Amino acid sequence: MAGRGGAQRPNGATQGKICQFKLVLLGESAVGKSSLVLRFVKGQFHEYQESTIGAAFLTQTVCLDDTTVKFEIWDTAGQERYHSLAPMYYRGAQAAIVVYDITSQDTFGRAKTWVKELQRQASPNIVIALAGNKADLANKRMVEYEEAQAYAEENSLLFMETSAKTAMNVNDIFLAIAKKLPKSDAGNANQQRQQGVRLNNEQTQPSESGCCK
Amino acid sequence: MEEGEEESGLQTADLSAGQSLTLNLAELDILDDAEFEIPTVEKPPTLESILNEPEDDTLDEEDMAIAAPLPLLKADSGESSSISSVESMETRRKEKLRTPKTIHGSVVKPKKLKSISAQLLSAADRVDAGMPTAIAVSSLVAIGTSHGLVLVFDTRQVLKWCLGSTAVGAQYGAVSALSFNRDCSRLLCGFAKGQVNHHVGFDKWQVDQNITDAHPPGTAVLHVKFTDSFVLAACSDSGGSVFELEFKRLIGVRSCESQCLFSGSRGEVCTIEPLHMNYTIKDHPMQDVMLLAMASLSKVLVVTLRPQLKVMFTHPLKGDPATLPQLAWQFVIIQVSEKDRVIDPVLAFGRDQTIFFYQVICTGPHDIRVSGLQKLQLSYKILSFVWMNARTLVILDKSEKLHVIDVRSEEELEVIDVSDVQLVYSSSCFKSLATGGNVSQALRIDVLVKAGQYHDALALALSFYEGKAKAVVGLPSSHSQRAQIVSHQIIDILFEFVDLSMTKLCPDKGRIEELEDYYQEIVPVCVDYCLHLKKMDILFGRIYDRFAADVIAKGTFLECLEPYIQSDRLTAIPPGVMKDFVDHYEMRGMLDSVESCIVHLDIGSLDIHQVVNLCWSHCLYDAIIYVYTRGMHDYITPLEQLLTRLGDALSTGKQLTGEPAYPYLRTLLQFDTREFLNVLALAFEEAEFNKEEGIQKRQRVVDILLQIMVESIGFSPTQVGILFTFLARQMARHENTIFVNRILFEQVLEFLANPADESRHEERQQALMELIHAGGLAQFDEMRLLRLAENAKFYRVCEFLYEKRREYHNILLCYIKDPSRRYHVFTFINNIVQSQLYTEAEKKQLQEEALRNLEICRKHKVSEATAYLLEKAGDVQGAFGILLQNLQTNLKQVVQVIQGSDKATDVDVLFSKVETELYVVVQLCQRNSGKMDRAAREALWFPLLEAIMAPQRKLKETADKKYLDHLKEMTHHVLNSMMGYIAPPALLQKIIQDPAYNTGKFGEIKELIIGMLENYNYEETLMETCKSLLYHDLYVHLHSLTSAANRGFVPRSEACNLCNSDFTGYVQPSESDPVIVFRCGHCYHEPCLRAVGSIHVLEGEETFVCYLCSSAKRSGRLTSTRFHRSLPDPAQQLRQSYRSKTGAKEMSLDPQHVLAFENIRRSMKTPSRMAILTELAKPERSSSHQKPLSIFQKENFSLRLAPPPPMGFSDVI
Repeated sequence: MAGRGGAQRPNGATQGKICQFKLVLLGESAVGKSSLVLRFVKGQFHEYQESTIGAAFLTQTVCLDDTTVKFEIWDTAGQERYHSLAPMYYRGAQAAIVVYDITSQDTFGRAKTWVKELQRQASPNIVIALAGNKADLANKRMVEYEEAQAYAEENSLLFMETSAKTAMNVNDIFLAIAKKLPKSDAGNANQQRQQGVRLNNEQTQPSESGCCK
Repeated sequence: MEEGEEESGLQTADLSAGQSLTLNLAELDILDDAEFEIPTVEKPPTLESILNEPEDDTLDEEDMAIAAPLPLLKADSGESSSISSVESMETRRKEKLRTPKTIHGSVVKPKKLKSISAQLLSAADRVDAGMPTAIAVSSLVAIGTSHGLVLVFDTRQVLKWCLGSTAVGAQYGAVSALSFNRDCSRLLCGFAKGQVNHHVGFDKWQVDQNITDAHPPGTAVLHVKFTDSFVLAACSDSGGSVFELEFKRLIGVRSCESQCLFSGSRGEVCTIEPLHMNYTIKDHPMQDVMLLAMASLSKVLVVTLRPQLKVMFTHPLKGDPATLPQLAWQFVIIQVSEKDRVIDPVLAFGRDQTIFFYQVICTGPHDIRVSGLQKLQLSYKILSFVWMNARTLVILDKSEKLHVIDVRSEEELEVIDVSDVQLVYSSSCFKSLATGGNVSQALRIDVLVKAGQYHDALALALSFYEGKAKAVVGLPSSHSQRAQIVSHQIIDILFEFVDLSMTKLCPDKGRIEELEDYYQEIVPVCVDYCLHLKKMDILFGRIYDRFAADVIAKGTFLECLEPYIQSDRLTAIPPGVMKDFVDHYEMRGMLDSVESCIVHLDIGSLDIHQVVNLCWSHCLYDAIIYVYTRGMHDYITPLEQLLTRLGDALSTGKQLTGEPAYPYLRTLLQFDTREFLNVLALAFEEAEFNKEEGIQKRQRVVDILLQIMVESIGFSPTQVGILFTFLARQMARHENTIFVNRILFEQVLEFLANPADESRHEERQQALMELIHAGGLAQFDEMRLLRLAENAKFYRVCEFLYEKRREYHNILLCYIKDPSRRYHVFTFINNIVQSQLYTEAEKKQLQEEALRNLEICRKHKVSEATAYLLEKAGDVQGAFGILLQNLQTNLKQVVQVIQGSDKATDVDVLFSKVETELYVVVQLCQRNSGKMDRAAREALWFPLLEAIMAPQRKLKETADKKYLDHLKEMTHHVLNSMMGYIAPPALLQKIIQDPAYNTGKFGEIKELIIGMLENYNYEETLMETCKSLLYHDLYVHLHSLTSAANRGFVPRSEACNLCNSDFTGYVQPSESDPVIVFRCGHCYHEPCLRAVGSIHVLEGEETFVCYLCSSAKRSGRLTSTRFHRSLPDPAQQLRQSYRSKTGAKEMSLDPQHVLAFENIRRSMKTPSRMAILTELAKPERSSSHQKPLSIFQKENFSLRLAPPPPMGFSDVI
């Protein structure tokens, strides 16, 4: 199905596979999650980025060799009161970026708890990336690169220090995630989804027939 | 059907689907005695005798001779006596009755094909051929077996070929149908698992073609039948569908194209039978037509396969469900008339116990009719039947007895019990009843798709999907598998449909609305099917992507989702689409819709950030509360923020929603304030509004109305005025139950009477007036109101108030001050002065005021009014002076304009103004000239003349001709007008003395004088004409008078109208009694007339009056009083007695005539002449005579007398 879909797409450029991934951004408020996404999706940066309410949804497609990866990005709100929403977004997500602010040790601590939460409750195959944002403010650095990297290695996370403002490492971190994501699995995931539907049908149909006949 | 091998070549038609094949090859030779001249067998052979007959290894020659020819050929010979046409059926029946029963002897001879039987048995033993399952008999005999073998024997019962193998059988199943083509060069072989093998060859039979896709797989081939063409065959399957198989050979590759002729979904076809053409008949019109008969469990169908597929005939065929329909064709000679015989195919079809015969009448490939011939009712149930020849039918019944029937006579010729041959029934393949015959679902859908009927195709597919479709074939029985297959198919169709819709079918970039309408047709289809299939990923994936390529399509797609969302059929929309949805709705400003959708959606699919921001900015509080509370379980944030907003709203006093409250009420008020309030007023009269509770409600409504109309902008003063009028009335009506703030009224009053506001003056005044009339301002101080009104120049309001106070002089002032009613002032004065209602004191006051107003008028330069007043007051000179002054001023202006370069002012306008004024002055002069003496007249006219001539003097040199002419014209007018009042010499003198004309040159005043003279001439002519008219008139009247007088008096009866005795037979002693005849035609004896007193004494002379006419007038019939002077009433009694004596002989005059008189009378001016005319006219109309006319009664009877004196209107003979 998917193959055929690709073949019949109007723009013939995408001959390869199309993979769709759900990616969620988590982290303390004001660490720059929305800015990261905005930079990645639209290439923009707003000095004053309004606080996200609940969660925002954006998509971006990147090409990786012959694969087209479509990110469905859920940019969650960092404020504590929206915490309860987070599971809704990271559940079923194939990737997550946990963001902290290198100028604040607290945000790094919060990032660690997010990672823990993800490891405990999200899908076991989830690809987690740790992003130390606001790298342009290196003079106010409170979280050392090494410290974060050590933590990342320990927990087998992707790690990069990023800057939404200067665009440093922004695309890179998304690309790194895209690379790490299992493409074949993605196809499977697609199929699984379909199967899920079909199984569903199987479950419902007999009962239908039972009442009809 | 018995693909029974029971008979030899005579039987080709397989009887029907169900039964088949006897194992024991009993040969039944069916012979027609007459045809073959076989001598009658005295004793029909018993079954035993048949069975005991010596067996031959081969069919003997004689048998072959009979067996070999195809039954059709036999019929062709035409020897067999035919069924004659239907028309002669009756006679034949009678004949049948008359002819004694004949003995037919044995017609059919059962014969066992021993050799074939033996070989079959041995094949079954040796090569595991299996049991025989199918047979085809032609010049060869083919027998199919249950293990897929086909054994072909020749007529000598020699096994010629063995086709197929047990491997074939393992693969395809048993042979279920066999068919030879016409010349036995091809054999079609159908298998139980659906394959059809096509064998070709004479010497070496080989599988030419292995057709597996002719019909839906999994259904057994029930029948395969070659048509006359060796490339065309028909086959039916156990699904009940019928297919046409066309064999093709393209570049050495054989192919077979199958086309569904009949879908089993419409009732399974159990048997088919193509018509084989009788080629011995030359030029039969049906030569180019291929007919196929099909029979389902409910009806029989005959279709033409060539030249085109068309249903020719249907006939219901019901019967015991345990029986199957049967079909058999035969060419039969039909006696059309004495000499004409036609050979037409006859179809016999039957079921249960009935057989029908229908004739196919064909005059050309396109003109085929089918008409009924005969119906045969049997006493046994039919298993199968076949034509032996054109008049003999062999029927096998349920108890396996063979009946030979003569069709024409319906006589049973012979009955043979063949139960011992052990017929084989191939019912195992016929499962149509169990499975529900059908064409495969894919095929059915494909047909619709190819026809472009995507909606139908999808609907059909969905019915498969849901398992609701009837007669589904070709789908796995498992529900889930089936659903999967069909859903894939549906999705494919949907894709095709969407792709096509977006490209080929899409209207060329037309108007946006058109495109939107177009997409609105498509999107719901997609959504519906995806919803049914639960394939939302497809809908929002590929399909949405397709639509999103076009902005309009995308928008429409999103809008089409709305109903689904609102009805909760779509709750989980991918966030990407949802985002587009919100964006689109925001862009279109359809915020209410988006809000109502949001509250239905799964929060997980919403971009909360986007939605919340949208909602806050557009005050979609419901959605906000939904998102926060349901989605985020956050009950505090929305409350906080809402409270903040509320606080802001309270502090600024603005509506929270930005939208004014009571929008409907507002709309109604804006639409038609007056009528809406009227309706409300009516409603308030209802009982509901006058109870305790109702009063409160009423107050509430009033409060709301005040709130809307007074405290907000957008209502015109009139509308507000209407509201207050309404309120005032309501307050007056429902005392003390409606409370309206006094201050509010005051505000309204001030608002209406705002002197600074120049706009809508009249409107506001009107509103105020109504308010006052309604009594809404009763509680206000009148003086204050008056002041306000005066300030606001509401003179009518003032008038109203003054009138209330009876200060009429003040009203006068109002009139004068009011620019629009200034001219009514005199009418007003007049009314007041003449009216009885006003006291003298008031009148006096008014007069004083009026006089005072003369001064005012002068002051205000209301010159005309002043002049009018002066004129009325008798000061003509004064009035004239004013007007003249006006005129002069204007003339001066004209002169200035003409002379000067003041081009700005329109000279023409000025001129017309001058002219108007001139007319006014002239009229004034003319009005008053009559009452004046000469000197005074001249004092009026000459200054006027002077005034009009003065400018001419000034302009004489400078002005251009046009204006001068204009002025001269005016001068002329003045002169003409004064002509009657001023002596011409004086006028002439005046002119000559005038400096404008006194230059001495006659030429200059020539025009003037000529004008005067012309005028004089005109008046003289006028006078002469008048005089001559008067003379003429006089003459005409006199003439008519004379001619009237000259007419004879015609008596209407020959008897006295009073005593009723005949004048002619008058034998009274005083025979000389004079008779009086009136113009009205009544005649009386003079004494009689005297007796009733119908006599007047006029100027000392006796004048008789017609009694009847005058009495009629007395009784009210005539309204004229002038000439029928009545007498005092002694006559009354007498008249009545006379009436009773004479019977109802009353003269009557119908109202129309009376009216006519009156008209004439009115039109005539001279009373005396009129009198005569009336008198003359009367008798002609009043008709009451019964006797034949005498000479005196003739209308044109003339006495030729000299004219009588005009006053006399009766004559004494």
